[in-house]
Amino acid sequence: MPSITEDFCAAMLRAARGQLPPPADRAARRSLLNVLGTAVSASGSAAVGVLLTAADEAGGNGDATVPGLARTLDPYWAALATGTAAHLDDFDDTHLATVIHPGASTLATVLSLVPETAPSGSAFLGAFAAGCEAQLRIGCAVSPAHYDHGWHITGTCGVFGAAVAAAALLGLDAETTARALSLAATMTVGHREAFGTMTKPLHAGKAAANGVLAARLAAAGLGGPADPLGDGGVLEVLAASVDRDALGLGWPEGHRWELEQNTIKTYPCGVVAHPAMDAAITAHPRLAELAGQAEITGITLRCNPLVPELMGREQPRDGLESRFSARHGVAVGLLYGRAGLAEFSDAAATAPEVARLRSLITLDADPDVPRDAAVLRVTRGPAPGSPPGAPEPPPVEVAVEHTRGSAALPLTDDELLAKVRALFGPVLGEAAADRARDAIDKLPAAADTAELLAALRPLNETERAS
Amino acid sequence: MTTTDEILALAGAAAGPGVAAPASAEAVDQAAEVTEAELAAFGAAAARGATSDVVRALLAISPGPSPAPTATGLPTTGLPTTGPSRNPAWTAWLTGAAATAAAGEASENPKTAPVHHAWLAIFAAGLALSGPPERLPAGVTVRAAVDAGMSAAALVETGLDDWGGWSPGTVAATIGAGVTAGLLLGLTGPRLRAVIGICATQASGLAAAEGTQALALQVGKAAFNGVEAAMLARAGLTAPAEPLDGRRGLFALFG
Repeated sequence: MPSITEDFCAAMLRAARGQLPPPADRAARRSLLNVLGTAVSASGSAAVGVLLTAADEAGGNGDATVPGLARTLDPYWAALATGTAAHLDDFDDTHLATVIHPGASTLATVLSLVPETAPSGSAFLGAFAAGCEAQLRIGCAVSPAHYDHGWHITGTCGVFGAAVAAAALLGLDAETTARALSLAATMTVGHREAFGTMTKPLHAGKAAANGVLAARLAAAGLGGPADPLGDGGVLEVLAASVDRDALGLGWPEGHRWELEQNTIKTYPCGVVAHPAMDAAITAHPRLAELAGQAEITGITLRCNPLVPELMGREQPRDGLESRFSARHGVAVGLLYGRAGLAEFSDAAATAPEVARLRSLITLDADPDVPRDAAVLRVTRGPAPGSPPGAPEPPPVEVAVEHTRGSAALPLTDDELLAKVRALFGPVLGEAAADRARDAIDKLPAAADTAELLAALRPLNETERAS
Repeated sequence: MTTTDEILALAGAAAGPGVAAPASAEAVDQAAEVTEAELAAFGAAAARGATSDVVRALLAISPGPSPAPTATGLPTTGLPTTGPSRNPAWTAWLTGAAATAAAGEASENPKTAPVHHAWLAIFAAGLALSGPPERLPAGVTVRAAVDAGMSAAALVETGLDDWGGWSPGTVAATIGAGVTAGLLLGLTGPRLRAVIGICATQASGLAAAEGTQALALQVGKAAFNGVEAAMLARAGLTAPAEPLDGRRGLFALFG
């Protein structure tokens, strides 16, 4: 009788190698396009530069594509660089029930293995879908205890998804894939303490690299503790409370794809702050009308308790730290009426006017506020120099019921393409985003991934710089 | 003084005079001193384990034979030493796994004392980055770097009473291997602190691996991660300032 882990792996491999159901196929294509956008956008970042320097020292050249770069790396370093880049700006995706960002590590896994496995388009997309699905189901099984305890679930569960995706492309059977998971269980990565540093996105890259290593070692005949997903296995090590039903063993009738619940981020920061930023951007023109006539004196954000827990930084010191500051997101939304990559740069994080506004913000955590909702209240006093007793303008209050990009209000395909065009633009040009989208849509019938890979690379580093 | 500060102070002492704050009495109590005999025993163990199934599998998947330890007077391991790979992290993985595989066989002999897994990973990291004195950072010796790594691992391992299903030796080994590797790459101050941060966030390994091939793999992987963390920190990767005592740091998560 197969173990629980073998049962799980058999279902994931069947999913990877069969025809994806239409909703899962669409979710996979959208998640893939989105995370390619974030990977391309961050390919010239300092963090990726660090990895390229280390790869050079380690002799890490090879044939694997890293989105946005002309140079290619060996599978290990390509996985590390791609996963790190895709998650670097916290602009990728979120499965809200687990807070996993599944796309980065899975993209890194499947791209790194293209040269040696030469997958068809459907095999590539199927491995990506199953890799996301595997980590999301394992994440569901250990949620919420695992993340709440302080683990960065994108890394700790990502390694299992990467192992499954790699197993699918390497042609492993369920028994061998189960051994890969037993080895991946010894290579988990990710503490939330690392948020706001380059080590946080490294979790996604390392999850991918480790997952591939685990699959290779299993293929070479090795294994670890038996049945890691079974009773008393790694799930109980990862969390004080485990819901094994969430694994969807045997894929019973009606068990949905968790990948369908993956949401596309609209702002480059922690997702729990997104409703607050929607509110701030909505309030911006109303406040702008009174510029010079009234001065903001206080800002209160009524929000889900996860906002101060995950996004509680008061005065971030750089762009990476600002991605974990709801106050920063609200401040730039109120000041500039937008919250894109430029508003989360080092310059924006240290701008005096932003720091001043951040200092006026109070986070009012309320467990009755859903994760995708928020209420923002801005109070104003008379303009400087007003006579004593001058009336105070009424407060501006904005309530957001469902943030844009949430499961209730997902980005349309056109909005997603617009996001990816903006991310590709400075690196490869916006037209490359359209080519990538077209290539992804053709994957189910494509003999290979050549068209997609061609859309991800500049002809040379000079073209990239221009 | 946080645990990371304590480790940096110990590491500073290993790197020579003029470094940061002095270590606390507790940290000094944890200070280890590796002997030539222990290093020789480690090399012999790695040589015995070089033909194990685990090492064969690692060699099969590695990007190529890894650079050899080249320190004068240090043990040779019998592992393949030439080829295209320049990544010392692979050398550390192979060496740590080989020594652990051999120690596992030896531990079946009741007359043989149990081997501490953290030490094996730290020795492996030290050997992987060893070299003749003129190529090492000024004032740093392989023995001193291994001493500091072992002391750091001891501080981490004794920091918690209950490790749940995790393997404390392997988790602590990652930190120790990182400190040893960082010192041998000449890192100090913020860069060495970053090494500890990169290591802490990927410290892993299961107690249930005992008795399986995963044990040798995870001990060797701790050495790999430590060496790689030092390479990444040297290149500029940033990491949390308090990866051990922080609110969501290692002690909070593993406890």
